[in-house]
Amino acid sequence: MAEWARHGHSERELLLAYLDGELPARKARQVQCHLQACWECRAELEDLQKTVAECVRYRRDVLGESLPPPPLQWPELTRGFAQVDAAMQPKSVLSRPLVRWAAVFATAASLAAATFVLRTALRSPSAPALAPAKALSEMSPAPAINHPRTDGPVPSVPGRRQQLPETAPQKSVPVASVGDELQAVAVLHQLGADLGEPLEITRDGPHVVITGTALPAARRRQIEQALAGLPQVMVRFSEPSPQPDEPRPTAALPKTADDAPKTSSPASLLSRVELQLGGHAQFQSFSARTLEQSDAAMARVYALRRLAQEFSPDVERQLSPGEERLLYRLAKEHTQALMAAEGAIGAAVSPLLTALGATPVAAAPIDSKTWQVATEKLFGSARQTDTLLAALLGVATPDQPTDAVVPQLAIALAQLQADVQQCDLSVSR
Amino acid sequence: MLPYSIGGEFAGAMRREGATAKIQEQVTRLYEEAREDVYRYLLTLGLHPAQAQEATQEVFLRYYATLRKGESILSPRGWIFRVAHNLGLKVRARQDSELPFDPVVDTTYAAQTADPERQLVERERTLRFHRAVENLSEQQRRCLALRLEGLRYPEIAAALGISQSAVGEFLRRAIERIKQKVSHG
Repeated sequence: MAEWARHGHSERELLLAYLDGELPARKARQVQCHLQACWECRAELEDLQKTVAECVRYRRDVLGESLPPPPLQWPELTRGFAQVDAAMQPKSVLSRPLVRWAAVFATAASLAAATFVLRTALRSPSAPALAPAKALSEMSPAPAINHPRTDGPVPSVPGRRQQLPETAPQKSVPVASVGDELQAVAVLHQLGADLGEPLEITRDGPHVVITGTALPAARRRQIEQALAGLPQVMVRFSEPSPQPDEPRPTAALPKTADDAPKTSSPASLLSRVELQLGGHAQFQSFSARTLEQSDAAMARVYALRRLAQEFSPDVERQLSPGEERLLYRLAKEHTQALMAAEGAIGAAVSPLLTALGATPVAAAPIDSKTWQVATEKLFGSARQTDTLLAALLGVATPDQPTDAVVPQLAIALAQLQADVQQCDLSVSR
Repeated sequence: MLPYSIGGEFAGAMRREGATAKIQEQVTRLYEEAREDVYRYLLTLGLHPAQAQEATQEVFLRYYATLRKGESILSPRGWIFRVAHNLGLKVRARQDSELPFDPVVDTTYAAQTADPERQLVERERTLRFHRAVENLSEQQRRCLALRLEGLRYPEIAAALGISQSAVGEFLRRAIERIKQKVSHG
């Protein structure tokens, strides 16, 4: 059997990242080697490039032509520059005339306060340029200069421990600890808000800052109330609740096989699955239920992984014994829920796989030194299971030859079971 | 002592003035290059045209203020879109009662060709493409929009507050979904 068939085109998922130059060098070389050997993936790469080209054309020709132009001619930024400069100018021999110029601009600005350019320019850089969110204003009595930005860049997950750019906490202000962050995580966990909701947690000077986007108003209130008991926590919600007719939740697999083109999964496999389940209606119900369970399990896996990444062994050592217990309790709750989810998925899918010809397999747990490492392994097997499940149920293009989907899913499920147990063991104290 | 101090301060101030002019030039150049892109991105976030134009200018003035404070920005375009994204959401959040701007994209666009049959095919394909984009999840669409603006995965991740791997996954699924919808209708 050829190399690509044994590995089931595992590089296919990476093709877009490869095209975008976002893969680490070693992985990129791996993909490159695979592409040299595999016509199928080369054709897939060409398809991807065509789709990307269409996206570019769509942006340029369709969006570019259809969106309304700016209502006014673009003004020069000169006046805005002057305002920024005036507000920032240090006291120096040149500052006095500049202050006078600034005063002239400020006067002009106040006369035309309704115009957006000057409204912008009048703001002092030390004051937030936009009104802070209600929750923020209520919870941050410190002077403006110590406020974390309400509207500046939100740090990414990898940069989550970075301070927001221009906030320099005063020396006398205590700095939020990892323990404080953990307390906030625990409160969100109680609400189930750590399972895929668009919330980010950062530590910024004396505060643990929780940023949320696109949450319904009721959920925002619930989160604010739950966190009200933690004085160091600041909550920022930066988007209104979605309009009722606004479409769909964040990225996930389509919920039923009908959402995806049938052509993505070879019809023969799909019809065999349908046959085994007793018909199309049964298949639909099975598919929806199983994919739902898999999505929920993946949300758990992501939450656990995030916990493992945020509270690495090094960070963990900074926790007090009580905080450490709390961390392990949170992780344990995730692993327990995952064991239940894995059990349910396995119970539903394994008989089907056996009926489709898979032989029962058992996977040995891989010993991990820390629960964080065990979590990473669990993440890998959960993702593999999720992808193969989607391929089996026709909602994603199989990454491997059709014949390989069933046996590989059986292996992935067994590995997942072993990894969940190992992970659960590693957080047991 | 006094003349020396004043002279030193004066020279320092002159240097600062020169540096400021350079920064202004840099910001103006980027403003001219990217303002339309930022404006369009803000429209797709649901800002109305006037708000989007105002916010666009604000973004560039913040960029200027940040540079003036001596901070170095490795990827100006990434920074601009990150701030635009957060500012856009803030502006919308302040207008809970107002419906977001919903651009009606002209899906009647067709390639400029004299062949009416080809035009029809192109139009149909564009329509399918548009529907496919509309049917992406919110995060997929945002990742795609920012990628189309030239941002790299880490920059998109920073703008949206998600991990880089999540960006890769959202983009992969978005492109896959579009490909399937466009190919198979």
